[in-house]
Amino acid sequence: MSLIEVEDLTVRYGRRTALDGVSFAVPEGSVYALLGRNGAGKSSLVRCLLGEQLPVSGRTLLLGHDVWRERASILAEVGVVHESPDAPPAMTAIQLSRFCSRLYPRWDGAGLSERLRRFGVPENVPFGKLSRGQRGQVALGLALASAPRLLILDDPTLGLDPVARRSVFEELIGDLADRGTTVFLTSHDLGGVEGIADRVGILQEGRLVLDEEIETLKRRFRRISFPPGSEESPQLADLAPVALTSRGWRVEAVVSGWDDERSALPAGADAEISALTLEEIFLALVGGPQ
Amino acid sequence: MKGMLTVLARELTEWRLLFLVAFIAGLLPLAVPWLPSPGGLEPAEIRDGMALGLALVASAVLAVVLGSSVLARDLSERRLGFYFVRPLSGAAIWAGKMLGATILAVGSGVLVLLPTWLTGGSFAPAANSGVSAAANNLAAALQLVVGVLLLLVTAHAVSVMVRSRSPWLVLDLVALAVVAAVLWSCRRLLRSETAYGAAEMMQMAFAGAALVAAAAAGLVQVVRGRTDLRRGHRLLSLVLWSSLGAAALGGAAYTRWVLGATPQDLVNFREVVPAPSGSWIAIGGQTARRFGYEPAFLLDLASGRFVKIHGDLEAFRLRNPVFSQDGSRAVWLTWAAGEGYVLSALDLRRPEAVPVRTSVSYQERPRTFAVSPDGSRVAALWRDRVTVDDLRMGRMLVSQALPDDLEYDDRLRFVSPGHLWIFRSAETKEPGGPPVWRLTALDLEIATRRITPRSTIETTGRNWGFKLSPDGAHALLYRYPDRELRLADLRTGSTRTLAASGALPYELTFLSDGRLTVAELDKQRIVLRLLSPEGAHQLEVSLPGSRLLVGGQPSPNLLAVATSKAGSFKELAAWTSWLIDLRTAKVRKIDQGLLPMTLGPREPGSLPSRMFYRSRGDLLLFDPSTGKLRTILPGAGRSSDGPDPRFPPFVQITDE
Repeated sequence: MSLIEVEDLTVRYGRRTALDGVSFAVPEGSVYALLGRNGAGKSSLVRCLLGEQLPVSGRTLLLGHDVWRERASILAEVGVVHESPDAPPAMTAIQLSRFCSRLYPRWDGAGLSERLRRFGVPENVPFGKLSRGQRGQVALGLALASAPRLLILDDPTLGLDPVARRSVFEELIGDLADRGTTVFLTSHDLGGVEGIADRVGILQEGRLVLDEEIETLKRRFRRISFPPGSEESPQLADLAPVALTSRGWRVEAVVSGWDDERSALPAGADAEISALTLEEIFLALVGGPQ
Repeated sequence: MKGMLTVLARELTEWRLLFLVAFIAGLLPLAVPWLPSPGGLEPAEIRDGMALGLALVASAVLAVVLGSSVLARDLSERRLGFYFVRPLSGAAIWAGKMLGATILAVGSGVLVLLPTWLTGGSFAPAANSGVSAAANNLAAALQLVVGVLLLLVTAHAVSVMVRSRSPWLVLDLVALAVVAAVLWSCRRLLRSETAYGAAEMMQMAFAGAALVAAAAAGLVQVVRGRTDLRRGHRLLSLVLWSSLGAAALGGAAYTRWVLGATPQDLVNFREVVPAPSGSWIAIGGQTARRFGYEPAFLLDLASGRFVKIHGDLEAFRLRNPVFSQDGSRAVWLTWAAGEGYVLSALDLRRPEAVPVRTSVSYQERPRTFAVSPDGSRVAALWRDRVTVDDLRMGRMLVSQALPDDLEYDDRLRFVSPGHLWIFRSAETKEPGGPPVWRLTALDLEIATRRITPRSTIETTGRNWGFKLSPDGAHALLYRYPDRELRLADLRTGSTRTLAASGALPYELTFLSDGRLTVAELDKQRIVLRLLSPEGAHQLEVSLPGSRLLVGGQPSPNLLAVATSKAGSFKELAAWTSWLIDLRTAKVRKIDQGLLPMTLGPREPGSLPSRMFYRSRGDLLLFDPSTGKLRTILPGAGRSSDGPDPRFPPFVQITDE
């Protein structure tokens, strides 16, 4: 069963198209990472997923229900961390926990306290006076304390230092391992995402240009390095690279349809093959000038 | 409900300090007794007034501040998402926050009052007659809550508009201007016709509509616009202005409906003036469901044609429409800013005629006013002069100053098309002498503009009054409490004392042929005497009762009168109408609860001479040949009876 089903979603702001016929699904128990450059449409998609944005066409189902129409009841089983974790600035973590406990049927206040203690986040300090990282921890803690079936994280590590970023992802990995929660997240931290995501989608100018399991993706993308001056060689052209970079001492081509068992370099080619990280694949696909 | 209560609790917790501040502010008035008190006021009154003022200000200010911040600021500072990612419906978020703001604003006001109330203060509003103190207090409290709500939802709407910084703000301003202009016009129109009650009702209804519209707009903005401030603004504006636009259109339609009242809408006839001949009447009274709107009309009972001449009865009474003796023309005054009193006229004989604003106008309301028998000329006394205008030629014929500046009781009468008689009465008192009452008849020859004194009657004593005969040749002079009665010949200035009379002025009546009736009370019976134009006894009848009203002559030999034991015009049921045969002195009862029209001499058999009021407000016409009455305009009882099917449908005459 898919906990998220997005069907032919189109969002426009005036004449500008933010999302153009986007469709994908997130199966239960999986971790789906949506990647894209700034302005690619990620925030619009998250707003649609949360029932805050009405698309001009298409629909968004969360837990099998139309989220625009049944937002309030659906969100009882969905934990959310916004891009900028926010809450009424005067409320402390304890007050926030008390507030949320009245709204969620399976609220784990003790778990939240324990988690905040573990990360050194004071529970009696107003939310507005916490650091950016502490706020993120409170927001993540609140999202997890509701024992959600689905977790939606909109760039949860934005603005965090590397240590804090790592702790967020580690926390997620630990929690997900415990509960098997389905996760949809957007992030610019591709290294972190690579460690936890099962599936990845890439948005470019409002279109979903890639939607694939991360392992499959990494298997079919390869970097092939040629000697300098090979840019025009027919051997390189035969590989139909998705990206070509000339670095002075080497010419690097990124190919997207590689198959370790079937694909082979052209005979006599002076080339080297290497695997790519998710970040490198992402850069190869959308790294051109915006 | 659970979600709404959760948000509500959160709001109250966040702003709970306001309650403390309000309570502390409420202690300030308690210091008043220790301060010097301004002239004449009790310290307790000052304390109570100060507490009430502080409470109202606190509630109003908080309503505005909270209304503009609890939702709109969260939206603009992108904090509303905290609520929208929770299992909370938009309605629960809106209702929780708005209810919280209302409780904070009203509760703070109450807490400001609390210390003063606990120390014996009283804030009871001025009592309304017929309403219990509890109901009065409840109404005042309700008004306070409604006022707070109105401020709250309005502040929220304005705040969203301003904070969104969207071009829709321009549309908001345009819509506001249009709605305000429509309402202002409606209010002005209603008030210009003195439909004050209807204007007030419209304002209250619009305020209610504004409250509902602003609340609904805020709700839709949150429920459908969610965290998108600009989209929310669009939705808010659409709901708000379409609702207020509809309400303004409703106000315009209501105004049109109120002012479009026809004689059919009159539920009682407070003023009825029939033309001396013909089938036209001027009629005014209360209308149904229009909150005291009392228009006046000229109405042709034969054709159903009518024209509204005044929007209020006060104008009707002050500037009575005047008919020419031949019933061919009606003239009336309307007041127009910058122009003064403008004379309008309607040709009653031509079916296609429409009301015409003539070129005749007066800077001040004329003291008295007359139309020539053929309706071609109009005379008026205003300020210190008499003017005569020719309506056909559209030019002023005479404008003559009248001597001295005494407080005259003046009357005008066209004795012929070329002669206007001016009757002036005044009371003077020389030092050491008795008061002298003087009635002077002046003849204005219109062609030469010359005023010639015709006669002067002088008599001593106070409280003299007079009634003119139809031709202006005679006058009945009367005075109270001495109950003197004289018949004066105004052509010669001679007077003749009539038999001692206990008659009241309305019991002294000229008939159209110059004869007169004088009524006297004899124990529990009324003796009505008919005298010749010269005062010679002709006839005497006796009627039961202690009060008498003399009506018209349904036929030349019949006189309609009404008697009652303790009746008044307002208690029509107490009156009984009779017909007196002027040849045989035989008396025949017509009906009880019936009153003849009492308008002075009218042509026997003419419409006004045959008109009666029924106690429930119907206007009836008596047919002397059959002795039957038929309803020509049903009054308050119309809902059950309906109008007489023989009566023609009403047709409004459009003004030019």
